[in-house]
Amino acid sequence: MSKSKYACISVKTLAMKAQKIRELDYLELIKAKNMTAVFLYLRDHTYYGEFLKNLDPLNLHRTEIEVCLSDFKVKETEKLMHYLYGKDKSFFKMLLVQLEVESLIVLIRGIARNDDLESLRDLIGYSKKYTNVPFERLLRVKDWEKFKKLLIDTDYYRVLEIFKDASIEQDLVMIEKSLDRYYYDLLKKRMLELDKKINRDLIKAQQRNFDLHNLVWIYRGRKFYNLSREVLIAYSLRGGLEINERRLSNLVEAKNTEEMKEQLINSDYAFLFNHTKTIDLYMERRMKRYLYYLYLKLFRIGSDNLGRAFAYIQLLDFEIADITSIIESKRYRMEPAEIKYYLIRSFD
Amino acid sequence: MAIENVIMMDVVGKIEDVDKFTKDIFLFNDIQIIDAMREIDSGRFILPIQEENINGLLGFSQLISGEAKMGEKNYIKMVYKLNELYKGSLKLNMNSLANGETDLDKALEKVAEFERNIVAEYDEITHINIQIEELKKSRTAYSYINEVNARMSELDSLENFSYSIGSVTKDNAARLKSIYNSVTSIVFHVGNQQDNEEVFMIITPKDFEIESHRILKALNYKSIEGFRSDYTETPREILQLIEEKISELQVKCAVLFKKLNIHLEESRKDAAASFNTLSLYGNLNIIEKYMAFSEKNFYFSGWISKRDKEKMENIGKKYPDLIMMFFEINSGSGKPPTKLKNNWFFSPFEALVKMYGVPSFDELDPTPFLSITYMFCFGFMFGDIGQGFILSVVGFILGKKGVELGKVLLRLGICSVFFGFMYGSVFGFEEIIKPVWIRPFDEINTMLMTAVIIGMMMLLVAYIYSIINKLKKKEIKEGVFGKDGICGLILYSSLLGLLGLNMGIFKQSGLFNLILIGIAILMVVIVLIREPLSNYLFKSKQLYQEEVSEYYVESGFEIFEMLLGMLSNTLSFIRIGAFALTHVGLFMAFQTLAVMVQNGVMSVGILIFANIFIITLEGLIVSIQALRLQFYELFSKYYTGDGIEFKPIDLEIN
Repeated sequence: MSKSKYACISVKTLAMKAQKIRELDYLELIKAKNMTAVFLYLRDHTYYGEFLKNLDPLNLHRTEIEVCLSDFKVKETEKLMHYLYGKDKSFFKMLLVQLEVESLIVLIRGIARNDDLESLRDLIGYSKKYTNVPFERLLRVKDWEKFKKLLIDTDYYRVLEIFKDASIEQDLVMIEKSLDRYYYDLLKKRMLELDKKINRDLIKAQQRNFDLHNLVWIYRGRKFYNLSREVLIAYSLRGGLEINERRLSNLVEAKNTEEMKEQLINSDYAFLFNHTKTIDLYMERRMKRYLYYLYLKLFRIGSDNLGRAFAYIQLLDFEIADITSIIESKRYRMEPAEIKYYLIRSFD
Repeated sequence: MAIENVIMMDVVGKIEDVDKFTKDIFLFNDIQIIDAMREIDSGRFILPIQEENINGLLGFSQLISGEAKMGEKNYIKMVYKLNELYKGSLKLNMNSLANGETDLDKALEKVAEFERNIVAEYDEITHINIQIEELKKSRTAYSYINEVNARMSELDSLENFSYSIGSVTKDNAARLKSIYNSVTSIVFHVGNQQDNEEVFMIITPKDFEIESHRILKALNYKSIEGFRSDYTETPREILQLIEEKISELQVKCAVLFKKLNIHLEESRKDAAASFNTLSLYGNLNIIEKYMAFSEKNFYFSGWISKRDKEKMENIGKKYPDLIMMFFEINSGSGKPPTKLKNNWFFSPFEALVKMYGVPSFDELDPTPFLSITYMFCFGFMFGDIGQGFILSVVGFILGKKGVELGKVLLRLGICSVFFGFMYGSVFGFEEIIKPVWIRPFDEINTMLMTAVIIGMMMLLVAYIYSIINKLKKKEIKEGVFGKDGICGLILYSSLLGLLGLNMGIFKQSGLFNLILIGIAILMVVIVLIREPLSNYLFKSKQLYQEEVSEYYVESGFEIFEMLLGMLSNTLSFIRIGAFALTHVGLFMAFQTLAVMVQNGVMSVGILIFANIFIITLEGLIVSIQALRLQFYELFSKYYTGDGIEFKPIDLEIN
């Protein structure tokens, strides 16, 4: 059965990918003088033009472009979901759940700061079609208890109910980490429901994603927040590929970050640490670039499974992140050569 | 025609009259209400500036929408409560509303009195139910530790230790297990919850409480509810106690319930009247949410059908100072909804049309044509007196139960019976009666030819529909020169004529043949150059909207597709003949089987099964095929179906 069941979505994804921007476009964007120039290039020379055409270049705010791009991602994901059903579809839906979690975090931060949530409307992006979170009503909420109550019919209630007050700094961090963990646990669960034989590469890529998240979390948790090993374990992700439970506890028990690096020296993830000065600055980017190549490969070889479509959305995500970084860098008037350092895609 | 003309009605009235006016609107029902605020915002709600309108115009600038003005009213809650008490057996009775007393204050008073009568029992029951819920929670809680052989009072009063029982998700349970050895507490796994969580009992030295608490919080640990300090015995004894209490309360509740029911039955009539009035006001409230209000006036917008204009004007006359304005379509009033009006015979088929799309207000309603041809095609393919009769009985019963498609089925069944007489078939047996027309299997060619000829006629009618629709929409290019327009019709007819001449159906005539060929070629050329031609005739600046070469390549392919389409659309109708044959053939196969088994009981069984099989499976296939002909072969020619459905008030509210 069933390799052929992915033929349709694979071809569709291929066509969608072909429309996205290329290296030359990137170089043009990096060279652009200012944000408006970036916008005009995107509008007039790329596939995004269709989605940006309603924005006014003279009166443009950075977040407006970002919102348009994130809406675009939602649309692309929804489009691909038409081709899926059953377990595949629920796994794919996790891409939308991720956005949902991110949007909730934005709103919760707003609650913690006592913001008017309505003003954050432009910063949240989610799929209206697939969400069961009542975002419209959440935007009108003023306090934390009411916020939680509105989520009572969703899984998020269980995650949030034990927190009495979101404005306590320490609790806010915990809430965010808990939501993240909820997402990854669910992702793992849905992933394990997929046909493992067919989707082997996809599952491996995800497991590496788990590994990397754990490493970054533990490294930072130790170096910057000095968290206890129990808390580090409590928020670590399960189901990684190389970093199994034993290695995870070894890492947590390492005396300092130096010892941690030593433990990883022979692993696939040594690249995160074998630098002298710039470990912290580029850690996130290094991780993403690693994943970028991983998904690029998955896209190439994943034509008879779910891999290609999933990789496509992840690559799109990176693409949007890069565009966003470019726009941001224009604000700080960075030089083109410098901008390249901060992008996920590499241009060497 | 079967699409009614609708007009937009805008009303400005005194705010004192709003309730009465809304009630009239509600009882009138055949109005599609529109958000008046939106109409005003978009500049479509226009009051002519005249002296008598001055009151309506005043305050136009400080309007607020009804949505903002009308909050949830407390009587809505009453409606829900009454509904809950009588378990939904009270229904809104429009007739008694139209004639009877509908004073809101009186109704509220009555309900208040009614409430006083039953309140004691009702509150007690709710109270007991809450208690039972609490007890059940405690039962679950204590059952996790029912093996602990100590009194709870002892556990509660431990000097150096504290205990807690709570749950974490499965994934977090795995995390907890991997740090068992470093948590400063004793952790017992005591059970699983229904929603996939694992339950743990945690015993912590009091000195380490804060630290443990922090770790547990990080694992999203949630304490189990239901432990109470006044339960002091061992868990097992407590559980026994709880069981006793629950059954005691349940008995008490049952008695109260009986009493309550007697009371409720006694006052059913009053309650029904109050329910009626209150739901009326509830509904009025919903309608008023669509209105806009200034300090003194209310503003209302809605679509009504044109023939109701006079009736509405009569309603309007009841109120002094009420301004009522009507606007025809096309005076910038947004896209009007489509109100279908078909007689009892055709109206069930509207459901099939809506499956494809609601007709746009400016196109012909395809329902009558669809009804007749659909029934005809179905009957033709599925002609059998007995099976048709069963279908119509099933359809009748479903129709009575309110299934709209049941009524369609009834009509299809009757057609099937009619064709059953034509073919002389009763439950598949062809020996019982003589056919009025032919036996399909004896004259296969006649069946197939007839099918194609029927198809041709249906296609010709579809062309006419298409031409009318396109001309109504003022699409001259497509309506006159297009492939589904007048040219297409002439081309198709001349091709049919040529076919007739050369097949020897009409008398052979060389001259006529040549004329038809000439016409056909001319038509093809016209369709090919329809864009420049129409642009030339209407004196547009540009003859072509795109590159000339591009246009001709595209148009050339369209010609090819059109000719191919004419052929395939026509031949597609062979299926009605083919399915008529299948229908007979299928039964013949079963009949042969029945003979082969050489066992009377088995044979009868097989024949009964055959009939059930044919009625359900073939009936389904045939109805789908007939619908496919409609949607694909015919609708694609003449029907767009991009209208908006007219929703009268009651539909909107429900």
